[in-house]
Amino acid sequence: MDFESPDVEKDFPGLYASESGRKSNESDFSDGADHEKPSKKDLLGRRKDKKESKKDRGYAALAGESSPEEDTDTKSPSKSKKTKSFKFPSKSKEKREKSRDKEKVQEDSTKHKELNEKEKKKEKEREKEREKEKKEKEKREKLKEKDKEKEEKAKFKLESKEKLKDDKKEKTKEKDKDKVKEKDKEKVKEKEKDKKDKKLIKVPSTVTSGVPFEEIFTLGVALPIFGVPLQQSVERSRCHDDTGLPLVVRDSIDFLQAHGLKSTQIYRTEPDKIKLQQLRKLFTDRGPTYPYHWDVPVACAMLKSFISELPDSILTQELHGQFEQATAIAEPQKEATMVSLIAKLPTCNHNLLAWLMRHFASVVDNEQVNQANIQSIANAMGPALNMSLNLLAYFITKAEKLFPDVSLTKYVPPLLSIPADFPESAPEISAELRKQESLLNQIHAEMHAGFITPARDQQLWEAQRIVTQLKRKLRSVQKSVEPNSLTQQPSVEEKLPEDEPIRKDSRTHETIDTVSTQPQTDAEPIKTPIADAFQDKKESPNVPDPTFPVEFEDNFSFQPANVKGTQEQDTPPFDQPLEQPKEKPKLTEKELKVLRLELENAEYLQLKSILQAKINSEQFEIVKLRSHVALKNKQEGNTQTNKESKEIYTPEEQDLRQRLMKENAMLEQKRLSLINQIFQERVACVQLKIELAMKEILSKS
Amino acid sequence: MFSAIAYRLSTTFLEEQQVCGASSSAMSKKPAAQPTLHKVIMVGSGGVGKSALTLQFMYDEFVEDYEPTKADSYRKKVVLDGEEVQIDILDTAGQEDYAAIRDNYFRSGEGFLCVFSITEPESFDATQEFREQILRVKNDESIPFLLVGNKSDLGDKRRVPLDACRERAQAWQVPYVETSAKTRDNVDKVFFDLMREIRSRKSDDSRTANGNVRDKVKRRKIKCAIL
Repeated sequence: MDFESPDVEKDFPGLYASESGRKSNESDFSDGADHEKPSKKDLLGRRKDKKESKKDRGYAALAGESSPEEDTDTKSPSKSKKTKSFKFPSKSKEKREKSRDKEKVQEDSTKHKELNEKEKKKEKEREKEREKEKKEKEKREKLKEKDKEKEEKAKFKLESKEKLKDDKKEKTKEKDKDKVKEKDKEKVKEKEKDKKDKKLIKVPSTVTSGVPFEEIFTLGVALPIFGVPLQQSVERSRCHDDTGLPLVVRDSIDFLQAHGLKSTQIYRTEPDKIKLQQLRKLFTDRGPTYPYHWDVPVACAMLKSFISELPDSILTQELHGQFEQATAIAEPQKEATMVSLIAKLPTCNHNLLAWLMRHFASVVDNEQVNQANIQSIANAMGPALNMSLNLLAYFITKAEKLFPDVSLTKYVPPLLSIPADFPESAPEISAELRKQESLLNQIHAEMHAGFITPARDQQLWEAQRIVTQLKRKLRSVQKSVEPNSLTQQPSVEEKLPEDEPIRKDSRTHETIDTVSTQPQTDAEPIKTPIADAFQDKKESPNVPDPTFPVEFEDNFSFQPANVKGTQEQDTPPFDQPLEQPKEKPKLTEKELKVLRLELENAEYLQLKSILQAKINSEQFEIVKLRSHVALKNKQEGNTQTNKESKEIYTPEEQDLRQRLMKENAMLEQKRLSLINQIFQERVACVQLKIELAMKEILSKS
Repeated sequence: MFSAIAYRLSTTFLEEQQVCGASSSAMSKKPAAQPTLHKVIMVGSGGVGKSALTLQFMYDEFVEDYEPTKADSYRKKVVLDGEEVQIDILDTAGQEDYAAIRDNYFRSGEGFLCVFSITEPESFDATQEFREQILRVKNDESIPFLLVGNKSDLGDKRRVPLDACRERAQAWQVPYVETSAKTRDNVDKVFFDLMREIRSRKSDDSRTANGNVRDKVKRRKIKCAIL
């Protein structure tokens, strides 16, 4: 290994040296243990008394001491593997692959060795115990043994505890060292956390308390992107441009569009399982991927596995059947039906479907080169998509007509820094600004979910700095083209309306989630009087639905639509007199409306991101508490349950319980009304802010 | 016997590892040649002039029109007592709406400028809350912190008496400085004073941290003299 990776050696002189050092160390140790054995047997044979047994204990303690080294040893191969993926972004592909393969073999063999050694150790320990037992039997003849045994056990426990402590120490040290390896620091830490996680399962009693949260869960474990609803996956790891696709999907399609269209392997060849697994892990951990992680079969398989792991059909449960039925319709109506059905899809589903079908279409277009036709795509992807051949064939052949607004463009991730020659035009700046803000939101969401690492902190500041830089640039560009400022403003927020449905969608889930647990009738009367105040003003064209959650949601996310309605139909009196007389010469009514809607949109988006962040953090809190509860239960499950069952039977307790339950119900009610108030005030605040901003803009112009 | 030897070997080996770790960390820092970075966070209620102070410090410009900040971050290279350092300034939102976002930044901040307007008693009152928030997040009474009374050019509209400001600063054991983002009065001073505090704080920290590490490895300390 040492000879094959001289670069790494140079970069981290301690890395391999330490490994070999460890190995030699280990062998030294086992040597010692080997020598130890016969001597002990001698001792046994001569039936030595207490003193000897104490010495024995000393050895046992040593064996415990050594276990951390074993630990680090087992860790090291995986670690070196990790660092590898980062170390040579510039090396040629084949070389890298070869060396990696070799290393894998070596790693495997070393792992085996280590395992064997571990087992040996265990056996030795067992032997020791057996020996002890033998000794104790002998002692039994002389002494009253039971007490002794207990003592022995207690001591043994102490020793094992010490072992644990040492383990921990070792780990913290390990971490300190990791800080050196700037780039892969996070990765390695997460690896270690994984390890700790496993440890926790083994010995929950001593390690749980006081372990920071991120050490129990990794981002990939707590907020997975595979096997979760599409919407969630998009939120957790998305393309920061306006496509709203999960990064995995986008990267896979990008790769296939760039390298797969002319390849005969596309949607045909089985992928290299290890490579696929590696790539999947990278995506799960939100790590960067490099070209050498990819090849055509792996990209196909990645796409396939992401789609097949979605819990819901890509066409949604409600619409899937209708789509399938629509394939039977005769042509003129068929397309119209399909288009209308597609329009009903949630945005993220629509995006995913559109991109997939456009991509498949372009694959089929190259059939003469890559020999992939609809049939072969259906064979590969049909089961994952859970679509009939008819439907899939229809989508692919009609992709351009059905999804005219999607074009397959390569994803350009948010810049890591603004180059000096960054274009000075407003659209480009604002496009980059949107990406950066999306990235920033994601970082915030991750941090709110409890994932705070120095690296993420740094990322946060950097993204924020770029956003600030871009904002300044945009402002200066806009100032220099003063007369155009109003027409440019829309360009900044152009994409906001597209986000609307996503927001609506997510909010539906959230509100229903939060509300469904609460009694609906209680909330209704408290809410409506306050709500009326706003509804009156807007003369909402949408009649509020009778059910509480839906109304809640209506108020929240359809507001822009409401206002649009009122302004277009019967401009409400309350803002007309304020703005219209002053500004008539410069701004038309339409422009005003647009401006107002934009402002409103921006406000709501902000509100959304804040709420989203809170929701994320709360969701995570739930996960955390649950895990704690589970652990606690494991620890003291028996005693607790006994106590509880006793408590329930006494009548006084029953009284108290009922009183508390009543009180809780009251508090719950109060809480509900407070939530409503807060919500109403938020709406009011947003309205007032928009008012203010409008006035400011108007007075400026 | 042999196991004892093995044990000794293992400990010496661990020490070597530590040395390697320390030296490689020193090495990885040197080639980058990055000047020390101090992270400063501006806090205070809305409209007291946090952004104005920041922009004045960064670009020597005074912005008249008010536009609430959500969050902005700047980086500048400055020479602090002959040493080139970098300062990261995070300009936070005064409005409560962005409190959730703000917390994420507080955590990584190394020093704080708590700004209020001397013409606005409410903003002065709010400093109390900001201070508490910072202490809660940082969990450290002696975090580098400056109380800054801005808008000193508007002396005739002053509504927060100087004594009250000084008293509060005294109570918190932090320096108090009055600035004017408009006239650039004391603007550099507050940033540089804060950076000095951060710097001295960092050197203290590294010293105590080293002490702690040594305590932890007491047993293996014997040969740590190499360090």
